[in-house]
Amino acid sequence: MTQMAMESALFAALYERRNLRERDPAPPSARPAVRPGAAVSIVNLSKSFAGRPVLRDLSFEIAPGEFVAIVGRSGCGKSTLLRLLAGLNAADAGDIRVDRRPVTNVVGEARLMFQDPRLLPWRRVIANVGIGLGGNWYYEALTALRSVGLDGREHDWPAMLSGGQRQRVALARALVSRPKLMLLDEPFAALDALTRLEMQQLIEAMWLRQRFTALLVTHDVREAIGLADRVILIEQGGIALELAVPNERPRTRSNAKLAALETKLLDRLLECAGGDGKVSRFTSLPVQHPSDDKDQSPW
Amino acid sequence: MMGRWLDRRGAALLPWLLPAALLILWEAFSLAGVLGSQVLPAPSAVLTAAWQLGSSGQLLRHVVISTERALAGLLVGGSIGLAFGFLNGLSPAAARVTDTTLQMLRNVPHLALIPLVILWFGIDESAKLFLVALGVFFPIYLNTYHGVRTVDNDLVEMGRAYGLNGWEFFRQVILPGAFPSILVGLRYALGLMWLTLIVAETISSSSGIGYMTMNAREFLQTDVVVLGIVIYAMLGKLADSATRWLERRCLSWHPSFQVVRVAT
Ligand SMILES: Nc1ncnc2c1ncn2[C@@H]1O[C@H](COP(=O)(O)OP(=O)(O)OP(=O)(O)O)[C@@H](O)[C@H]1O
Ligand SMILES: [Mg+2]
Repeated sequence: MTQMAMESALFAALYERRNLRERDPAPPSARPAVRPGAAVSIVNLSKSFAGRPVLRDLSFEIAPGEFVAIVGRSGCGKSTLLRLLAGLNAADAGDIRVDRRPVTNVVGEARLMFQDPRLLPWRRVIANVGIGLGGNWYYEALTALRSVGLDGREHDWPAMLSGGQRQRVALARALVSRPKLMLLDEPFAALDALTRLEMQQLIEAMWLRQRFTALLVTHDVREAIGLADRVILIEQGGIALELAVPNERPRTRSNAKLAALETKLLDRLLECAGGDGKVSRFTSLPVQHPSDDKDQSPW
Repeated sequence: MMGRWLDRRGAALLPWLLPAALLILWEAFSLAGVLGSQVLPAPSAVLTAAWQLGSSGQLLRHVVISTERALAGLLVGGSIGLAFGFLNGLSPAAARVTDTTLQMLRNVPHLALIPLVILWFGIDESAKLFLVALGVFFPIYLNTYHGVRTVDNDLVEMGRAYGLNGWEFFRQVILPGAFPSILVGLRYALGLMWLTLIVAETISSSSGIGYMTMNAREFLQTDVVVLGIVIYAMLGKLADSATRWLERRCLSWHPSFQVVRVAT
């Protein structure tokens, strides 16, 4: 046997032993399968970087278990908002509460899924999923991996996975601690169309099963309408438009109501892209006239 | 089957072909009298010297003493270098206080301190320990510091967002992230370790390979001098192989090592 083969056999044996040890007691039931999602409340939130305002007096609420999508142009502060919610950065002013507790530091109940997978390249897939977990972590991580369709890959290095598989590992890592608030920062942006569709369905299924509160940031208007209960359009640091999506699931692509919403949202987005975007920047928030959206459109 | 085995053997032997040819040539020139034994003794003469010194136990004693000094110096200098590297890499405040000073000291060639060190410590063990430790400190410090500073910021943030802190954060994110760079530092340090030791032992010592070589020079035993050089080369190579092994063990996650893994 070569040295490599011996090493990997040894490794497998070690893991196997841990595996058995962890698995012997009956599957853990400490964590309930369904925990109510967290309520989120954001009041007059402001944040600027180097004197440049990114979020200005932003306020909105999310009900427990709600699925909210945030859309907006690149650089409008979507990631910044999620990072504030996750407690990774501190706000300049305003109040963020998750389950009525102010967010001051990293919250145990919230999990942030980044734009890129951010797996530790030096830890095996299973250890990446179980990061920060104690106790029965191996079993739980394995279950989470299975739920994203990656069983059998637990002992691979992240470098051995495809981009979509890595993002699925990242999803498993976010899901495994059964967060009450899931913050998703364009988790599908780098994926091909088919994988993207699969991931969207996966996240919807997970959300339906675990009932966490979900906040999804996306560039893709169709994705926002397809997944969320409510879509929020952020523009110049504030909310420019808020749309409730009729709550029918599963949603079909050909639904006329959804298509109309999509058009409305796209029109609004395009309007801010062209026209007066530069001039009125940071002077005043645009007044909302949802009804005459179409008339103002330069097209 | 047999053919492949031979092929593989052949591939393994290939790098040694040139040194072997040179050795044979060298031996031939010595036999022919082109190379005087005072200038460069024949390989066989060096081997004989090795055998004689080896069987009397002298050679082993010198090698062991030199190795002990080298490792002790590496341990002391390396630990201090690691500690400062991690401290300054993790704490900007500490870096502001100490880094400039360390960078200034780095520009002093440590071998230039030998006269001063002899004045301070005499020629006993601590002088050599000090010199070796000083020599290995800087490459380890610099590369550890650099390694910690360049750990992927996204991963650092992920670690925090997923509830890692304290020792767990260090163990899972910082240390492995800085490790490739630390290994580079270690390899530089090993080179400097032997270099420093040779110089220190030839100047002030009553044991060790450096002493053995200097002593032999006084008695015009060129074969022993060459033997000393060969042993230094072998120890250096051994140290290098050890780091390569460590690299393969600890960086098996690295894509460039996985290629090897798949191929075997
Ligand atoms: N750490 C930082 N330092 C300085 N400026 C920053 C920092 N983080 C974000 N910004 C600025 O804040 C603005 C919003 O950034 P953010 O990452 O939130 O945008 P985004 O809406 O997520 O964009 P995208 O859709 O392209 O990801 C940008 O103009 C960016 O340059
Ligand atoms: Mg972003």
